[in-house]
Parts: sequence; C-alpha cells; structure tokens
Amino acid sequence: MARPELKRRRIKNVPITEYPGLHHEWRVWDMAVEDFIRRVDPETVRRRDEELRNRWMAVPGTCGRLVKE
Amino acid sequence: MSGYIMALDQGTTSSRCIIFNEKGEIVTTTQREFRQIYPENGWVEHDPNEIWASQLSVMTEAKAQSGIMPEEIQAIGITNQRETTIVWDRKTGQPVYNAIVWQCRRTAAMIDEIVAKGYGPMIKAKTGLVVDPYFSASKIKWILDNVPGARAKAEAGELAFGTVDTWLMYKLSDGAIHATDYTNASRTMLYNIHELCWDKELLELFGVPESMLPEVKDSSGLFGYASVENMGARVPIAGVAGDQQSALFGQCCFAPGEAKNTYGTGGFLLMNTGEQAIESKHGLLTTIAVGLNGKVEYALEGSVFVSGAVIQWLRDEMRMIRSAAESEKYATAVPDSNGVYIVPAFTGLGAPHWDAYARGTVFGLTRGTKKEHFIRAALESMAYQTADVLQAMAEDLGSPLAALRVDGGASANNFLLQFQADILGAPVQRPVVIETTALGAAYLAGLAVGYYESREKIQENWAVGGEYDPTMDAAKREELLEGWRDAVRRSGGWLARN
Repeated sequence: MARPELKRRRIKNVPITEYPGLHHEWRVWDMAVEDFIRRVDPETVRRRDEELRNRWMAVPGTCGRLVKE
Repeated sequence: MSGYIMALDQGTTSSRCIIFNEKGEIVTTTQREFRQIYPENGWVEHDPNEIWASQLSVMTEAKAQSGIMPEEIQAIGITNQRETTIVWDRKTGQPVYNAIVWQCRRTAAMIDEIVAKGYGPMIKAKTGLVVDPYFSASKIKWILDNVPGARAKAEAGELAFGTVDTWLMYKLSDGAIHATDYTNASRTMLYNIHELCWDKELLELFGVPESMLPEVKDSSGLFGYASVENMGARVPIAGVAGDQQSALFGQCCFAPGEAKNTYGTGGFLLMNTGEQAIESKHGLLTTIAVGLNGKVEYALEGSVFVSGAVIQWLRDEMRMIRSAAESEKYATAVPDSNGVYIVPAFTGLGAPHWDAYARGTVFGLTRGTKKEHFIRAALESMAYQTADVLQAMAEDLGSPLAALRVDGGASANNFLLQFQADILGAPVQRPVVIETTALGAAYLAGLAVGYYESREKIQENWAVGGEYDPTMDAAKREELLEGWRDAVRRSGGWLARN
C-alpha cells in the first residue's frame, strides 16, 4: 500500500521499506501468484518445456545431465 | 483444569498473542506489525529478530492487559506464516540472513532449472507440492549459496534451519528446542509426506545438509518449555501448526470431507481427507493437516488467488465503495446482478482452471447495469471461485462437501455467505470465534497438556455464529453456474491472443 493510501485510510505507524512504484505489496502478491499459476497451467508447462528443450540439451555420456547448448 | 492457553499467531504482517479459556473463548488479544522488507523486485524479507521482538512484546502485553499470571498459562500454542525460511548460527543464535518470506520470488530461476531437469513429478509425488519458489527448499539453498561462508558452516553442523515456528521455539526456550511439527515440515519441499521423514534425495537435490534440519514432531505434544526469562514461568510449548492447518483444526474440521475457507485477500481452502493422502487431479496440493497421537491426517489445499482482493480493488482502485463493509449494502440493494459476471482473473486463473493467460473480465453489461450490480457481481465472484475449488476437492476425494466453515475478514459479509451456500447447495457456517487460526494452535496445545480432554470435547466448544442454509432452487443455481462457467471460459487465454 502506498503512503498516500495509508494516510487517506488513517493507518499510522506501518513501517514500510520503500519500493519504487506504488502498491508494492500487491506487486509482490501478483508476481507470486502469476508465477505459481504458470507452474501448474498445462499450456504454460508445455510451452516452457518446449522452450527449454530448445535451449538446453543433454550431453551424451553424462547420465542425462543437461547443459546449455 | 483451571488456567488459560496462550496462542502465538505469527503472521506475514504482524505478530499476535491471544489468550483463550477452556471454553475456547478469547480473554485477550494483542498485536504488533513489523517491517516488510523489499530489497529487490519480487523479493520479500523479514528481520527474524524483529519477528521475535514483536512476538515477545505482544506476549508480555497480553499478560499485562489481562492480569493473567504466567503460572496460570497451562501451555503455549504456536501458529505461523508457513514456508518462510530462517537460517541461524547455532553458537551465536543470530540469523545469518533475513527471513526469506513465502511470497519471495528470488529463486524462480533455480526452480525453473529443477523443473527443466525433470524433477517435478518426483518432488510432487514425495511432497504433495507443486515445485515452486513458495516452499522453503530453494530459499535454504539460496542462503547457503549466497551468504559468505554459510555453506561451509552448514556442512560443519554450525547452522540451523527453521520455519518461523521453529525460530520462535528456539528463542522462547533460549536455544533448547530445535523442532517443528508435521504441518510445517510438509511445506518445506524437503519432507516426504508419505514416509514421514526428511527425504535424502530432496536434501541432495537442494544441497541441504540434514544436520540443519529440525526434529519433526506431532502438532500436539510437548516440544519443550518457554524459559522463565521469557515467560515469567516455565511454560510448556505443546502445540504447533502452520496457519492454514491451524485454522482447519480451529474450525473443528476433524472428519474427511469437512472443509474451511478463510476469506482473506486470497481464499485459502483446506479439506480434511483423513488418513488418505490424495493426489489431486486438479492441481491442488496434498499436505499434512495435523500430526496427533503419532499419526498424521492429510488435507487437500487450494487457493482462490483473488478473493477479498476484489473488494479491496473496488475500494482502492475503482473507488466504488469507501469501505469493505459497504459492499454488502450495495449488493443487497438489488435483487440480483442483472446478468453481470466479473471474473477477477487479475493474475490469471488458479485452481481448478489453471490458465496463466486469463485476465480479469466483466460480462453482461447493459445500459441498465448499475454500480450495485457491479459490486454484487464482484462479491458473487468470490463465491463462484470458492465453489470451483470445493468442487475439485470433492471430485478428488470422491464424496460431496458436507458443510463449509468460514472465517477471515469477508466472513462478516452476510450476503456473501448466503450466496455461497446457495451456489454450493450446502450449508455455510461461521463460528462465534472467528480467530480460528490462533484457536487451532490453542486447541493443539491444550490437548497435549490435558487442558482439553479430547477432540470430541473441543467440538462441543464450536459454536455457530451464523449459519446459512441454501435457499436457491436447483434450476436457478445451475443457471447461474452455467453463466459463471461461460464467463470463466471466455476470460481464458486473453494474454495469448495479445
């Protein structure tokens, strides 16, 4: 919650470490939720796996260890 | 037994202390907020010493406020924000880094790599969790990898890890206790919830030495004693549970199929599944509900990511209402939402839809749509989303929901609860004491020391503050749900198209 909002709602003494941009609490919440949903969403998982397959490859003779191409 | 139980409720934004009597009634409540630290975009930390100082101060204040003597406190119960990770030096008792909070995203890339290497299904099978930075494992690894000298010290057995419950017990006992309970252990992503042990394969994967880890105990049982210096008397610490599990216990959801929802910013739903650890087909988490008498019971967990947040959005961004309470007045000023549906997919859609590309949408606007309809539709969206998760849980469990018990800020909204009952076709019950999180910890502690005789006796304490029976006919319910399902379908994939 931004400081003007705190003032408007007469909330006092809430210590906040400033983060550039308003509503940093929401920003963190949203980022966490978006990330979590991406990790479960089957379509996202499919796209990510495809992208990772293209970006990474297994090295023969390394028990399937993946290294960057 | 005479006396009282002290519950410590250590949450994400504040530390609280609530003293309960044998009827489960609140005698006194104290609360103190502490700093949220955002060092970088997406990072969240707390100062562990500030957590402890705030907790200790509210305990002292609660005793002073109530006039209760330390000797009258029969036991302490602890409930806490889950997954938040603290690592400290065993010799000095000082944290080596700030607490990394559950929301913190700093380990997202680390988790991506683990998933890319194909470990996801193995981790899910062992822990019941979706592989995500939420859980403690990657946070511990980050501390060991990034704090100078931490890994060497950890490998030498000089560092200890704990979730917040463990940290508080360590501090309360002046360093004598290094323990946690099954519910908190089950959120670390290092604990095998089926074999009930720290999993060696996971420890190796995340590079966490076993010597750092706390002993895992029943949620109800003697963990040790708070010192005379801290409490004014030697008081047993006898109950510990993560906040959502504690609320499930505080709501007396003891039988399979019984569920609770906490209407907070998000909605947190847990359904007791008894001794069965059920693997969800809908992306829900399997977690330990409680450890009692040497056995564990399991739960399914699902979240509505935008629940009370939709009311905060109406108030702070849309400025349609001045207070959350006003939403009920507007919603009941009209007989229905006039065909308006709001899908508050601000950050995508969670369980059971799981669509990262969905975004918030409003359907059914006409020239006749008023602010009241809009506000009513927003409240209804909270109920629809909750019903979606409960439906998924019931399908996973293979039996229908018996009743839903509710708590949290928005449970004060009578319109919401009646509509929730109507849409579920099942009763919704709000207890008299809605501090169920703290109450759960108090019950767990009280059971261990004989202050409460049994779960059955505790159940007798559970008093209904508001009961909402479904009054809507089945055809109307189905019509509304059909509209909601259509709205959800149409909100899907928005980002992908843009």
